[in-house]
Amino acid sequence: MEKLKTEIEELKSRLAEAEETLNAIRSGEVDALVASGPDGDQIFTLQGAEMPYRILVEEMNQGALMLIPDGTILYANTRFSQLSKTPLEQVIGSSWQQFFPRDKHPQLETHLKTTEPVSPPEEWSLQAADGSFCPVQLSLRSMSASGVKGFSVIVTDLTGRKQSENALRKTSAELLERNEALEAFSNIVSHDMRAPLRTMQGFVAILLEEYGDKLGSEAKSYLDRIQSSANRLARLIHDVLAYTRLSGDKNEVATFDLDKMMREIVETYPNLSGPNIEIVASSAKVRGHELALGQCVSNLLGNALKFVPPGRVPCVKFWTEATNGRLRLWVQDNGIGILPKDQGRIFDVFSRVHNDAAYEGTGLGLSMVKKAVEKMGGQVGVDSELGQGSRFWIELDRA
Amino acid sequence: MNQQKCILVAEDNPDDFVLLRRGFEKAPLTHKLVHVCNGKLAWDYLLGEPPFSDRNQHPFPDLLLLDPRMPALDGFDLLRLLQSHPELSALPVVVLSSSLVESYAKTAKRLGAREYLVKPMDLDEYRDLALGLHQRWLVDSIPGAPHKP
Repeated sequence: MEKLKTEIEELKSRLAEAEETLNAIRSGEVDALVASGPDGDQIFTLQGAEMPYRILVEEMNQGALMLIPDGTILYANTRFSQLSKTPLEQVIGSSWQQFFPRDKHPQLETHLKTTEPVSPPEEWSLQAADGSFCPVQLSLRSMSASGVKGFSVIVTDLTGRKQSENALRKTSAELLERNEALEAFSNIVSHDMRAPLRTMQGFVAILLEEYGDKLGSEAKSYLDRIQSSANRLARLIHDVLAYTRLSGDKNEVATFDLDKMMREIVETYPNLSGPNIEIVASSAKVRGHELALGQCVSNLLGNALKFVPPGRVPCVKFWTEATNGRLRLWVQDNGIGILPKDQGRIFDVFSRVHNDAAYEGTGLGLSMVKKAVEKMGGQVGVDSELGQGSRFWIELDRA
Repeated sequence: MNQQKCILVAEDNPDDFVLLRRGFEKAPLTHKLVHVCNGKLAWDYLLGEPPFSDRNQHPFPDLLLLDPRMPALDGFDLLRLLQSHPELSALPVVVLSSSLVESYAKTAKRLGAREYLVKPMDLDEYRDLALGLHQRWLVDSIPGAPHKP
């Protein structure tokens, strides 16, 4: 009985003590957080509230330092110790300068004298205890706690980022090299393949001019065959070169007058006049590579004139149409048209729908158009029906 | 007007030289065409070094036609040499290339070539080329007046 009484007294006093504490916390005399919930009040004291911050700082993937104005490290987290390969107890109390290359020390000094509350992040290299370097980003923030001035420093390891940057740089260097190789190749194609061709063409012409009378008609027809083959190869080389040139990056984007360009191109076709050609005037200006687009329009016009059935007079119409912020240039012909199943592949390299000798070509004209227009951020397409002519379009950004 | 002039042709492809000569014949133009097959020989010819020391037989040219790509001193190297030579730098040089590559044209102009022409692919074009060269570089103008560009 006596024992029970003592126990009750003890519990009472503990309860009173607890209530006192709670009241003190509530009145703000003690730092803690009281959270009222369905299971009663939960108390987070100062010690408890500090825990998440400690864990956050200790376990974060960035190194963290606290410095006093002379650069002495008051606090460092585990990550900084790992990055600097220095035991934590050796880090704390030492100068932060020792973790950076000597030639950077004056800059570190400047940082500590700054009056800016936050310094913009900078790239540095951290020197570890074993002498190795690690690329890092430093973010400095000046702070004052209980009247003591200091700095907090966040050290982010950039090794991973640097590696991907390097890999990216390497890839783009390789691409550049491959581009150069391609350009060198097209130079060779242009020069070395044209030379023997010129000999063939030239000497066949001499034979025909000088000895044509002495040769029978059969012999002359053979020479004609050689001549036309050589001409075809010459066109092919010319187009391959033009195609490679379009893929280069040397074209500059500019604003220019589409109408003017079309008229100039049409003028280069002396047989086109009056009823054969119609340009619906517009004052449209587009953004693109003028030379490349000129080549495209020229190719489309060339096709419109080439792919007509025998006996039909070609008739070409150009007009423009505004479509939400862009401009579509239409080129309509009255030619042989394209089957729906072929319309998808006509823009492919070396793709030829008509292998008919009457419609000879290299299979590069439309792929050139597509490539050039897409490089300008535009699109190409075609509407066509077999026998009913075709309508090709190029869509570009309006100026 | 059609006084005979001398044209030095530095060209490593003998076929191209025949076609060029043919172009002049078709024009018809009677200029003396001298063929050397690389840049080194062209340089020797211009300096009058043996075997070209006899100027009666090997007259100093009025025009140099140059293929940019040749063995033993290519056309561009020869242009550089000419540029640095006080007397030879006045000789009009036309680069006659089979390359359509634009950078070649720029290099040639930068190194002092008066013109960059692409070799024709047929005989009529060769004839036109010969006529053009004749009009621009080989017609006598008023003595002392500079050649037309």
